[in-house]
Amino acid sequence: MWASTPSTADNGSSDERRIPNERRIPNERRNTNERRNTNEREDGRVDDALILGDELGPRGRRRVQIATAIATVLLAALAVAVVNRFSDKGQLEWDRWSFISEWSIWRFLLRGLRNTLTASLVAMALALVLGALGAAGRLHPARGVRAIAIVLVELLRATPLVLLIYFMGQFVPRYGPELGSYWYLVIGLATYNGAVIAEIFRAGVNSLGVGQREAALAVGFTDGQALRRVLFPQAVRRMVPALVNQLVTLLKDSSLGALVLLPAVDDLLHQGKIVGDFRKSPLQGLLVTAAIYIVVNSALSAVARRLEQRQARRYGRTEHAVGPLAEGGVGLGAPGAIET
Amino acid sequence: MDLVWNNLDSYWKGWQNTVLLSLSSFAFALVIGVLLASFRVSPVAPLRALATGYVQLVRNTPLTVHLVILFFGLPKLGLRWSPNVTAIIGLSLYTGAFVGEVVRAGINTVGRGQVEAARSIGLGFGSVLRLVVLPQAIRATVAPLGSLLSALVRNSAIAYTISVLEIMGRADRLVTETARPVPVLIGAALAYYTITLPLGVGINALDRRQRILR
Repeated sequence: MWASTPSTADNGSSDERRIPNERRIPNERRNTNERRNTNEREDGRVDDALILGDELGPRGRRRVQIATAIATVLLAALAVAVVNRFSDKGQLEWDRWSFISEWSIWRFLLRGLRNTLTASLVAMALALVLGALGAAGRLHPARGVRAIAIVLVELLRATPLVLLIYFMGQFVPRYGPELGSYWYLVIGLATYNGAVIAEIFRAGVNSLGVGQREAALAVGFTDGQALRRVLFPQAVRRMVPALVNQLVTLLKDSSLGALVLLPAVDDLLHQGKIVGDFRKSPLQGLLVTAAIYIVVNSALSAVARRLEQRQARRYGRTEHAVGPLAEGGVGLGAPGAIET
Repeated sequence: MDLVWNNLDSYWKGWQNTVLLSLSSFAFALVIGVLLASFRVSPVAPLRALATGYVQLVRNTPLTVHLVILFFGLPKLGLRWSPNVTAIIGLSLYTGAFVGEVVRAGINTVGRGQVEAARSIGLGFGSVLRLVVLPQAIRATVAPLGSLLSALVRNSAIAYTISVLEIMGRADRLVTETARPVPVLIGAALAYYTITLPLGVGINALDRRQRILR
């Protein structure tokens, strides 16, 4: 903390309190995870600033004030420059923006948003099923099954999603039923995210520790029952924030359907482009489209953050609680595919 | 698979461009990310707000939208670059936001007690940062940065939608020329695997070697 809230300073060792011993993350995962919440406050939020110094004295405060003033001026100048650029090029004229006051345009855009949302949710549902299968395969007692699951999951995760969606758009109609671009998009999203979610589930199961499985086997469960009845239910609950984050990623990725497939999926991006071209204001159409994406995804991200805070209070931090970036299930490919 | 062998030079050109796009974008993204992270932990409120706003806006927009805005939208403001440069700008700006988050999370892994201890034995601000915080923070960022690089390689495939000729763009051409999409696309996937799979293995090994066991 730089210049504020000395009250958080007594919080230093609270992580020790918050993670009871049996919840500690076992073996290979017990590295960076346990200490992660040292900068966490009572409400589970993590302070941005770390105390790199003591409370600022009069001179330090003065310097911060000067820096603040300079930064404000520079940022204001930047904003003015951007606005000037827009108006110089005639991009601020009402003609170019008037479409945002028309209900029919909004209806058109919202239809795109609806397609984006339904495609994402359907793909997510399928991905959850595939992910559960993939995780079960990777945790299977038979070595052959494990090997197949590992190869499939790692190869899928190492493939660019664009390529996979493009492939589905060519492959499925050629060798299977003609379902239409919407479904090729859904299939592409579902297979890729199934692999990612398989890793999320596996990380969740691993974070439980061997005791749970051993106890289940000891009371006579088979391996499959232990997985279904004991391990998965707990793992899924722990991984809910990571799954919501993955849904945000999936939702963003769904916009690939507008660019990669022919005919294009009429999702939000596609409709936004059409509105822009139709009204001779492509920049404005795309900016409005981006704004809609931001609103929807921010809402989802906020939900994920709330869930993460709740989980952090409940379990201490598991590796996914810091966001899918942290650790991830580090496999051969890339952990935690937050991107795109 | 003959198709792939016969067009190996086309794949090879695409492969080179994919590597070029990924590495240059990653370099810029690192600069952007470190700047963003230092803004976010700085005591200067406007810079904090700027960095927070940037990360929020960029992370919540699809990369496709960034590229499409850069390529089809910004020319209206008189800003126009070649497809390759546009792709590098888009990928850097987008990945930079994620790098910023990773670096910030890295700084946050260093416990407050560490800093307090360093302060109490008399180290100044610079020394605390240089001797205590950064060595630990940097190590914590290796694995997540590696996965960002891998994701960047795969994301660079999106650049083909703005007519960049990297692996995916070359493959798209070959599909049109040969009308045999399946072998062509499998070839493209293999080309990506030659980058992403060794990268994943390398990152894991590197991470295991330098990770601090706490």
